[in-house]
Amino acid sequence: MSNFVEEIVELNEETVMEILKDRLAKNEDPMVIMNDVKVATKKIGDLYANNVYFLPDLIMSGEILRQIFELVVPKIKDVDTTEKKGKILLATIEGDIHDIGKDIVKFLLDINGYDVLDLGVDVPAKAIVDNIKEYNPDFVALSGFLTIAYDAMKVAIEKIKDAGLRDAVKIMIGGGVIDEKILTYVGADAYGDSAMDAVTIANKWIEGK
Amino acid sequence: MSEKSPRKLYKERNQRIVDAIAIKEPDRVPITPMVTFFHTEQKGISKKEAMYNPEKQAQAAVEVFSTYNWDAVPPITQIYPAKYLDMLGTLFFKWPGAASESSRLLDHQPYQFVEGEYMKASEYEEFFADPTGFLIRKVLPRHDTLFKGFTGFPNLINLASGYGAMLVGFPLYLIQPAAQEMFEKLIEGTQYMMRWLNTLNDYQGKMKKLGYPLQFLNMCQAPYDVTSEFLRGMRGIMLDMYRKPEELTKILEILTGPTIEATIRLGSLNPRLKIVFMPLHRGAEGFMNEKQFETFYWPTLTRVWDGLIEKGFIPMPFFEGKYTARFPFLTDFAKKNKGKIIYWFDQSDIIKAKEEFGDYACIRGNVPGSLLVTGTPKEVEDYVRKSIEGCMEGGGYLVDGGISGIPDETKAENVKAMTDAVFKYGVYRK
Repeated sequence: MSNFVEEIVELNEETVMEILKDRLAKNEDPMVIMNDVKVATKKIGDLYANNVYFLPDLIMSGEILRQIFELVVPKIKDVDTTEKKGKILLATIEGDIHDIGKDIVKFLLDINGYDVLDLGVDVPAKAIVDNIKEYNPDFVALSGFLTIAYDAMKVAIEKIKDAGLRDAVKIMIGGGVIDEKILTYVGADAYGDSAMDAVTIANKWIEGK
Repeated sequence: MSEKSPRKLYKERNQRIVDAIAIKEPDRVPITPMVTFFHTEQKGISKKEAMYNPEKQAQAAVEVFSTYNWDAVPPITQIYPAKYLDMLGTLFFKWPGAASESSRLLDHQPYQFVEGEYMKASEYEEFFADPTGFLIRKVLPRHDTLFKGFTGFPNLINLASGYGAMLVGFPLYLIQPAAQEMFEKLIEGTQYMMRWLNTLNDYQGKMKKLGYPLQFLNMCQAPYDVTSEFLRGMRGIMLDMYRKPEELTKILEILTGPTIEATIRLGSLNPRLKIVFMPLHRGAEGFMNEKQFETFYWPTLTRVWDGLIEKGFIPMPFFEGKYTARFPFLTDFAKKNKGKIIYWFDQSDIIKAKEEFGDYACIRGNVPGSLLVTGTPKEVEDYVRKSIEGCMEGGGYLVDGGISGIPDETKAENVKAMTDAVFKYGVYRK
């Protein structure tokens, strides 16, 4: 069935769905299919990391995966018990309502084995602190597209510190206006230049834990 | 030492920019910063008030900009008239203090774009059959609540029959309360917009008297960005690259001519201002691969540039994000249009830009927003010095910030450092 994997990686929507329907009609174990999907997704993530695939390709792959899940998931009896690598709290910072970058990061973290709690956009510092307490994530990832995010991130990280939680979580930041200078300014632990950096950073951190 | 008259200053400043664009060495590298809310923030005016009180924001602009020795001042049209947005019930923005709760942000938040699929994938054929009719009846009501009054707008093709207009068309349409209310509000809104435009003219006049040219007023967008932002949405257009490449190409083609035409018409209101600002949003590195850029983004963008250049305009694309990997495309166009275009960069490598096409295109930018907001004056000075040293040779360089100019939260001392550095390091001849 490597053909199936290949067609997903090549983003050939119609062929993928044809093969999938055929496999389901033959009563194939949905878990085997899901395993193929996992292999394909990993390959797509690698292509993105290597600048072969870009945003439109990720969006298209997400669309193909959505359709696959729609047909396969109802047939799965056992819940996926695959152990997650770690828990990540994700939010676009207060003042900023942009979600595209954040959603891509979520998608990439998710397909790379992380459990992501997405708090949405325009998230105030208090909500971030409260959720760290409740959810106990390994890492926090903050997104910002506007320069208004600089101070908002700084404030949020100060509040995390005030709540005595700064040592409990590593914090990464990212978004169109974020660079090395802002990393120092807000006091986070790492920044990402592209969405894939979130995965690279998380993998590095989780290995060190 | 006698002070120069504002008139003389105006002439000198203007010439400096004209020379830089033409890739000739002026007496000094020009500095032409763009802003959005920088001046109102400096005056302690909330973003809500800046958007609802055009006179106050214009006054702040005069007071703040006149303290800097800039070669041209920014237009203040980036602060949109919130009252007019309220009248329209605009849905593709959220802004501070909006009348509608669902569009309202807090007073200190800048207005922000609301991503949406304003035209569905299944509607391409309807668009192609009658672009204007489709936009009026379907898309405008999705952009602005008030335009729900356009939903029943008559089919214009029916006007082929004279009776179509006389009986069936307009009276039947205009008898509807939603349509009547819409036109009444539009007239009221237009009166407000006249006041807004007068404020802008007044600002332009005051700055001229003080010796400052205005950078530009005219603007337009790349057909791909229009389709992505106002029609299909970012997700939608990306899927269309895969699922509906022919339809996507066709819609981009259809939008190109009218984009040029509307920009020329807008330009005729201020014939002396030749620069056309084009903020490019969705063609940057990361947003698509090179092949997709070459297929979907670049062809209609350059056709808009060609159309504007042909009429004597100077396109000024703002390359938001990173475009260094796209430099071969930019080089190709610049070589064919020496001295006729300004490339304004955000996070691209401008020293490399200078090396690759600096003999043909004027480069603008790119002091990073992060530096202007959080850096020290010394760091800003160093960055500007480095940029000037790398870009000034032979002319063709305008100093400005990266992210749409000077970010709202920028510290005044950093803007002063940026300006002073130009006078310190950018002199060609005394």
